[in-house]
Parts: sequence; C-alpha cells; structure tokens
Amino acid sequence: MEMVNASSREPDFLLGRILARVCEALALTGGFLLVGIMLISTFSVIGRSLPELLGAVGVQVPRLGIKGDIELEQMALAVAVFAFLPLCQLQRSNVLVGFFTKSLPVHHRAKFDVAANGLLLLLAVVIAWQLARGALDKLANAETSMVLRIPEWIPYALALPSAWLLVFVTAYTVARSWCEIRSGQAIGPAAAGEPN
Amino acid sequence: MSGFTAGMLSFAILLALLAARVPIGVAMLAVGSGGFIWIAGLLPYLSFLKTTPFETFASYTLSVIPLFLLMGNVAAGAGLSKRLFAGANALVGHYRGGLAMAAVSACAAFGTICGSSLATAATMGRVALPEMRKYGYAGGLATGCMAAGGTLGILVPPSVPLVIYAILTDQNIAKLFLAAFIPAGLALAGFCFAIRSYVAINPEAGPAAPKLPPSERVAAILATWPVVVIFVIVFVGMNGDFFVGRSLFTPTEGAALGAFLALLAAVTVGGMRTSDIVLSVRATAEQTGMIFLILLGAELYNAFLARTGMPQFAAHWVANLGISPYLIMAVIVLIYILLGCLMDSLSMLLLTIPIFFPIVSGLDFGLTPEQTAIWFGILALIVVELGLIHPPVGLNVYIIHNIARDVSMMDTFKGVVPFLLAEFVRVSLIIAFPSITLALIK
Repeated sequence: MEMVNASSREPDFLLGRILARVCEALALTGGFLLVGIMLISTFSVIGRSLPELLGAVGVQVPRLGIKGDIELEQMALAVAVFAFLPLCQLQRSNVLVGFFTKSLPVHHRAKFDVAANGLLLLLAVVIAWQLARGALDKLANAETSMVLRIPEWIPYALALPSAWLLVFVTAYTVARSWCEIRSGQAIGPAAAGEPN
Repeated sequence: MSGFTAGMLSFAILLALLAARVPIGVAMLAVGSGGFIWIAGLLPYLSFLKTTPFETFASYTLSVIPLFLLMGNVAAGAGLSKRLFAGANALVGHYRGGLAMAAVSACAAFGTICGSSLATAATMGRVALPEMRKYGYAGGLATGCMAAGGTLGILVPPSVPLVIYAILTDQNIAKLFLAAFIPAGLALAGFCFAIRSYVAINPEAGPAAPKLPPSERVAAILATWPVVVIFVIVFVGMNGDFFVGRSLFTPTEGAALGAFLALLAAVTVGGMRTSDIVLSVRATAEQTGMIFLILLGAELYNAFLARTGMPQFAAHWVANLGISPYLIMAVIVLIYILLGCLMDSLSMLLLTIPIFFPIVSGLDFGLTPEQTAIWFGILALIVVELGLIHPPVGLNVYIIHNIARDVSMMDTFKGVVPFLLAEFVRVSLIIAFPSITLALIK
C-alpha cells in the first residue's frame, strides 16, 4: 500500500494566510495562558509540599499558596480553549474519518467538506451567539466566582472574540472548500492524517 | 419513537456523518444538538448553550490534558530523546537486534514523560532510525519497531487517552496510570521478544552494534537522569496513596509540575531555544483545540444519549443474553480493532465508551466495579492503540514513513507484523488474566 501520490496543493488564499496569522497569534495567547496555569499550579504544589518536606527535617517554612488558584485556572483554561479553536478549523486539524473519501478526486471530496464546514458554521454561530447571551446574563445577575469574587461575565467576554473568530474562519473554510469544488485543486493545509 | 430507537438512530446518523468526512467533534455536536432539540425543544437547547461550552472547557479535571500535552511537546523538542536512546543503546545495543530493542525501550522511557503516541514515534524515530540504518538494519525491522514502539508513548503513564477514559467513566486517573504499568512492561517485553525472533530468523536484519567501553556505557546511562527525575516526582506525587499512604498532588498538579520540570530540563540541559518553546506551545494549542472540540461534542451527545436510556437498555440486554462475559469482552475488542481501521484512538474512545462502559459494568467478571472499570480501561486503551500500527489508517506507520522515506510503506507495514502478533498475545493475556492489570491496585 503505497501512499497515494500527493497531488500538488495550492497555497491558501491571501485572506486564508492573513487569518492564519491572526488565529496563530490568538492560539499562542491562549497557549501562554496555559503556561500561566502551569505556573500557578506548580507554585501551589511546591508551596504546599516544600514546607512539609523541610518540616520533616526540622526546618520551619511558611506554606505558600495562591488564593483561588483553581478558580483562576478554570477560567484561564476556558478562555484558552476558545482561543485554540479557530486555528484548528483553519488548519484542518479537527480529526475526521478520511477512509471512505480519500480516493475521491478533490472536487468530489470538497463537496463533503463544504457540507461539514457548513454544519460547523451553523453550530459556531449558535455557540457564539449563546455565549454572548450567557455573558449578558452573568452581567445582569452580577454573578461572581466563589473565592476571588471575579465577575463571571469577564472570562465569558474574553472568550467571545475567539468564538466569533471561529464563526468567521469557518465561513472562510466553507468558501475555501467551495473553491476547491470549482477548481478541482486542493487549497491550503491538508486534513490531519491525510496524505493529500 | 421510543428513547431506545432514538438513541440507536442517532448513533447511526453519527456514523454516517463520520463516514462523510464530518470531523468527529462537529458530528457529535450536531447529532447531540439535534437530539437535545428533539427531546427538550429549541429554547431550552439555546439556554443550555449559554453556559455549557464555557463550563465544559472551564474544568479543573480537564486541565490535566493540555498540561500533559505541553509536557510531551516540550520533552519532544528538548533533546531528551537522544539521551534516552543513547542510554538504552549502552545497555543492549551490542546484542543482535540490540539497536531495535534500545529503540523500543527508549520509546517506553520517553513515554514516561509524554502522553502521546504520535509524538513518541516521531521524536524517537528521528533519533533512532538513522542509527539503525547506519548499522545496516533491514528497513522493515527499523521502521516497524519504531511504529510499534510509538504506541508505548500512550501506554506508559502519563497517557492522554487514559485521562479521557478516566473522565468519561468517573475513575481515578492516578489508579489507572498505576494499572497501566505492568501491561506496558509486558508490551516492552513482547516487542523485545518480537525483535529477538525476527533476528533469529533473519540474522542479517539486525546486526549487533559495537560494544562501547564500560565508562562510556555508564555515562550514557547516567545521562538519562532528567527523565528519571521528572518521572519519579510526577508519578510518585500523583500516586501518593500507593507510595506514601496519602495523596500528595492532584493529577492536574502532577501534570503542571511535570510540564514545568520538562521545560526546566529542556532549557538547562536540553539547550532548547525560545523559538522551540513557542513551537511546542503552538503544537499544544492545536492538539488541545482539537481534543476539546471533541470533548464538547461528546458532552452534548452523551447528555442526549443518556436521556434516551439507550446505553442502559443495551447494557441490560447484553447482560441477559446468557453469553460468557469473556466472549462479550472479546467481541468488544474485535469491534475496537475494526473501528481502528477507520479512526484515531481518541475519537474511538469518546464515541464508544458511553455505550460500552455500561455494558461492561453490567457483566460479572468476579471483580469489584472499580476493578472492572480499570481493567476495561487498560484493555480498551491497548486495543484502540493497535489501530495506530495496522492498515489502513496506521498513523504511526505514516509518521515513521515520513521520516524514513527510503523504506516503502509496504515494508513498514510488513515490519509491523511481528509486533502486532506480540500485541495480540498480550491482549489475550490481559483479557484472560485481569490480575495482570490489577496487581498494583489496592
């Protein structure tokens, strides 16, 4: 079973390349939020274990911790994950089952992609729209987090730009697959795990 | 339409969407949405979405996934793989087939700081393949053992799919990691046996490498210390109950500390540059986004599926069939192997566990519910991983093929066969003797 001879892929359109930059910057921002989560968690575990270890040999050190660490980590993770989604969609890294369609010519395969991306577009619009309503609800009810009393609408609002960028990127991927149908040429990045 | 019919119908639609190239996360999200609207109506569905996506992602338990991914990605870019291969090579490289055995052992060692199979295969492949080719190893043996060795990345704790199984089934992550230990050792032994048999039949396929002087061998083995230190801290910390009798870190803390230590090791002893760190953060971002979209889809779909009562009905039906539970387990394993021809391991777990887990829980293997859950989790993990090395998907094989272009895909798939045989023996052993998996669990 030799790998299907990779047909040449066209580079992505200018808009796609600009979007890639934007999505990448956003994803990296989320990535560094994740690094922040790592640091908070590491600090709290060391701040808790080290005094215990030293205490066992008779050295007294105060226990250190970050108030509301778990709360902060949870909010940061949700904001980060929303920031990762547009990049995945643009780079076609959302895993799919390519087995049944991999031998189809590009213009047939792209018909499936138009439908799949269209489906996500619909869902992404609903999610982004409801997330905005969720943020407004939280603002109206003045809900705050348990420990730090952070207003809950803030992390929701921080996730909103990512949710709407996902809508825009998904709309773009529908158009990109549409162009693939018309031209019969694969455009932009290949789907994860697919040879071409 | 009864709940059961609706549940079955939704599953059929889901499979049809998957076949039609709809990404698994999108398909589960779409079918889950449709089902939710059908049961509860449009307005409750819209209200549900106000908070569900955000709250699903804002999970302390789930944060263990991106942190382990980060740890693995940093480790992959940190040059630690070279040390591990050199260390393993110092131990066994001078035997016939020794480089291949060193390669799979290094994969297992790398698996202690990396929870992903593809990253393990790619990272170790880049280090070990050129060495094996240099000493005249047959193409198929070299690529086959790397593709198979990659699966150890997932099996040896930490393991991202195992975390997902633990979350889906409400099990203790640390206990599952502990349980994976002996089966992983068994896999390594099986792979080494496969290599020995391969070179016993084809002595020229894996010639012995020259033996290094003792001082160099000791130095190479000692140089693996960063990996050992990271693994011991994270693993002992997470399994505090087992080692010191009380819990020390949560899995999330273990993963965070592991990522931190990997980063520290990468920058100090691995010579990792800032640009490499950015690359590993970017890779983590993309993998996390991909996994969390599926998790969101699974959240919605499983919420719907549970309300149809289909999984419980199926579990009840299977339990009353009067067939040996072991036979049912074998059928489930077979289904996984077939599904492995189509999709990746994470998708498979997220798709099937909500249905298979209640079925397995309803069977009587003479184990406690927790023991059954742990045993089934390890077994499921092993069999979903087989899909990485057998055709037609065989993602590990593709990855290795991309590194070693001079070996044809056919030769690589042929080279994998002895390892697949070893795996089938292991799967049979693990089904037949649950105690292999449960020995370390108190």
